[in-house]
Amino acid sequence: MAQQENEGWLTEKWMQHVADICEVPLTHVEGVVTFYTMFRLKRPGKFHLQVCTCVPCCLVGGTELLEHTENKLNIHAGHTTTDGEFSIEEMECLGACSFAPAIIVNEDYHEQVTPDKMDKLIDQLKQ
Amino acid sequence: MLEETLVLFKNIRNPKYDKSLAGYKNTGGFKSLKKVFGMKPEEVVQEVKESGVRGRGGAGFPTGLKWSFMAKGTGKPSYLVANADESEPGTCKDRELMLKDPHLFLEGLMIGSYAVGCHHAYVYVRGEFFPAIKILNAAVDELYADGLLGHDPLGSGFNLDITIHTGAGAYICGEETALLDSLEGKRGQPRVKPPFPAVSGFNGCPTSVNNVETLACLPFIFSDGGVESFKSFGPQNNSGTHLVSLSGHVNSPGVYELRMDVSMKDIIYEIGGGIRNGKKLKGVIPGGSSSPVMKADEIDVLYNFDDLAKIGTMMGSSAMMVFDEDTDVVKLLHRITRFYAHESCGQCTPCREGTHWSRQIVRDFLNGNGSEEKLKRLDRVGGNMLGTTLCALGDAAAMPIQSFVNKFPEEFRKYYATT
Ligand code: FES
Repeated sequence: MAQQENEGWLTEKWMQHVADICEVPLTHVEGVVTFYTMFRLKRPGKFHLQVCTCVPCCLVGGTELLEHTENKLNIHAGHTTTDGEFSIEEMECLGACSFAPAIIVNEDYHEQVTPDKMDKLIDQLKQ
Repeated sequence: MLEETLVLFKNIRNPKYDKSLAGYKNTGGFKSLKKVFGMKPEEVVQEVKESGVRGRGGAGFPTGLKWSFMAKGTGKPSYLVANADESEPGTCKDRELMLKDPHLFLEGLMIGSYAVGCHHAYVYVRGEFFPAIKILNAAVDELYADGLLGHDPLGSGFNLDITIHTGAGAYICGEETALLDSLEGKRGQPRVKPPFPAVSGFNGCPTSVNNVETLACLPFIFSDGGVESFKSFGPQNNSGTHLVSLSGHVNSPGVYELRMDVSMKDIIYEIGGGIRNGKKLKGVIPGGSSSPVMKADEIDVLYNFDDLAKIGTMMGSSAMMVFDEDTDVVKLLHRITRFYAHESCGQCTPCREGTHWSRQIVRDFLNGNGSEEKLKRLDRVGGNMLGTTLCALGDAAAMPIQSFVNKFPEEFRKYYATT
């Protein structure tokens, strides 16, 4: 929840706040935060593209889709574009394998995404 | 021509189905719950045992038996937790149920809660499932507004609350004790067993953790004649229909509801429409990425728990990943080992180290530095993870490694260093 209020990422100040509410040491909160992949300690882009390259997605082009997206936005997975608009994250299985390759943009699933579809999506988001 | 058998997907396959509470009730929803409220909890558990339903999350443990292990008379509350942390690579069936027929699953959860005497049930949904989380929360609100949840639903004298809890991204939380730690707000790390959750689970109280699809079977089991028809859908000990997540190189990937007495071959060629682009089949990972791989000539087998176990593999979560003749098996294994190296929680040494070593060795092969000795070492690293860890993740990582090495050694030989 703290993460949601802080535009999708956490800082020490926020974690301290959580620790105070839960009456636990800060290290405990940090331990939890770093264990899970959905807590972020870096500011994501306005549009956070989460591309699945796990087994079923990878069988039908997930890896190529990730590469395509990286080239298109000129950043590597794990990074954010300089204008702060887009960030990319490589994901493990998103639970949409029969509709692979799958991606999540912020909170929305997109399925059977081809490089073409990805281009259109990114262009749309830019507007 | 093989067709689906619609029990769990009966509503979902109806294009006009309205998944709201009113729509669900129109199809006869909550009749089973009403019937269950007229029975004693022990009778409910007995019926579930009788139906033979086995856990659909991967382990295939008989659900009724699991419930009968719940400690009684402890003076502590009992809990039922629905495992909706679907993240075994290849599996995407629970998501369908939650997105498209949430009340079916919730009715199942309520039946289960009554059976184990739980007054506060939790649904642990993986955090990435944003749409499903919204739908479930809305469905639970509907149930409260209707009086089906809360105090004394249907005049049963039974009180029940349901909370939807979201995970935060960790495969290991699908393991039931890790899930409980995570539910308690900690890092999701598997616990030492015993004690099993049935004795000491959520907050130290007797707890049963059940998969979404397993719970969704319950309304049917408690419909009229449900137990008998449920049993008729498969061979002995493999009763009911199950949701098969078919993915990979087939023409029509998707989630299909099938009986347990159909062959894998028919599933791939009739339901899945065969291999795409007219290619030949090379192999199948039959039950989630942790199950031992099968070669193309092994698929003439019934797709159920016991028949697959007989040939040395497993049905797991019924997630079939099909790959064609052009697939590089070493690359595929590399991707699998990468997954486990990423998801190991780091508690047990064999798993924490083994998953990384195996990934490194497979990478060596891909870099053209393979050798006979390394292939043996890979097999050994796998073997050392088998059965040596607290939870099943070590086994899950080991089984694909050993099976890939043993079934496709020639593919690895292509990557031997040329000296
Ligand atoms: S592998 Fe990509 S969604 Fe499952």
